[in-house]
Amino acid sequence: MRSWERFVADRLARARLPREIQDDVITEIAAHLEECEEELRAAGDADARGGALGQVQDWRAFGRRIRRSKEGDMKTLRRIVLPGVAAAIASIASLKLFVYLLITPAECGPDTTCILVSADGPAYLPWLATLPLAGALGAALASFQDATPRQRLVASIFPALYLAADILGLAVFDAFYWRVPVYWVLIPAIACALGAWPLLGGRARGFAGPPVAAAAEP
Amino acid sequence: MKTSQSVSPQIKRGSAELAVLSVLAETPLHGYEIAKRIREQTGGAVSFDVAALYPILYSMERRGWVDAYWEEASSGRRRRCYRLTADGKGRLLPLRREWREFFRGLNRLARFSDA
Repeated sequence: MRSWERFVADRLARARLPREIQDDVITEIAAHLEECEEELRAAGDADARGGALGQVQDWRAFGRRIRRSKEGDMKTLRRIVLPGVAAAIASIASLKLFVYLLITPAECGPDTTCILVSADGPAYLPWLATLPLAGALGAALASFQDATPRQRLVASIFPALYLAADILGLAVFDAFYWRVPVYWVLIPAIACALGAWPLLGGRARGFAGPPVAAAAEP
Repeated sequence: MKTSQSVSPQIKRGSAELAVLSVLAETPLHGYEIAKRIREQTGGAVSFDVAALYPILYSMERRGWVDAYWEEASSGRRRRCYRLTADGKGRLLPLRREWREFFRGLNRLARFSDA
């Protein structure tokens, strides 16, 4: 039994199952495979172990399916969307602040003033400088929710994703926005990711590594 | 679960739920026994391997259709048993009805085709 548990633990290590369920899942799957092996051996199968191992063709996909089955869709919302929205709100707030502080409304008609915000305006670079903080906020909040490094990265670039969605939305009504260069979104995304970078390493907080180091076949 | 690749995921999932809930409606069982009973009771036409069975069981547990508890076998092996909850029974009844209608329709269609 221990050898099956070691085998299953090793194969499921990359699935990063939450710590509170990991041991139970390993014990349960190992018991199933062991019973399968015993039944095949009793039936005279010369390769009972091979037969039991054939129950799972792709352990990575199996691990992902277990994780999704255990967690459902709400975890994705908590791990990616909510931290990402928080990062996007922080970036919008900083943009509003810099626009308020650095841009003087220009007259663009009789009794009408306009605020022009563009990549060559005075608010852009200070705003860009704060994006690593917004990205770090998104990644930190995602990390707090036990997100994987990839989920943390996605949460961190939400400000750029929001910007892209905003530009695409405006492009529906104004052809000018079709000419917006890609770097308008790409550079903010890189700035956000740079801020998240120190938080992308290592395992998620709530996940345990494999409980045993051995990778031997049973 | 061995089914054709062309069968839609909804049908696969629905048939898997029906199979698992049906055997659990008889008595609480652990995972290996669930797979074994399904295989035996369908004459081998439907069979679950580990990779197919446990994601379904965990998903059902999360939805509250089944309840799990640990027991120790006489061999000393710990096994996780599943039993149907009231929600699971509530899910099984319409599922049986839907599949009965589905197969009835298919039967009618097959007879027309034969003619």
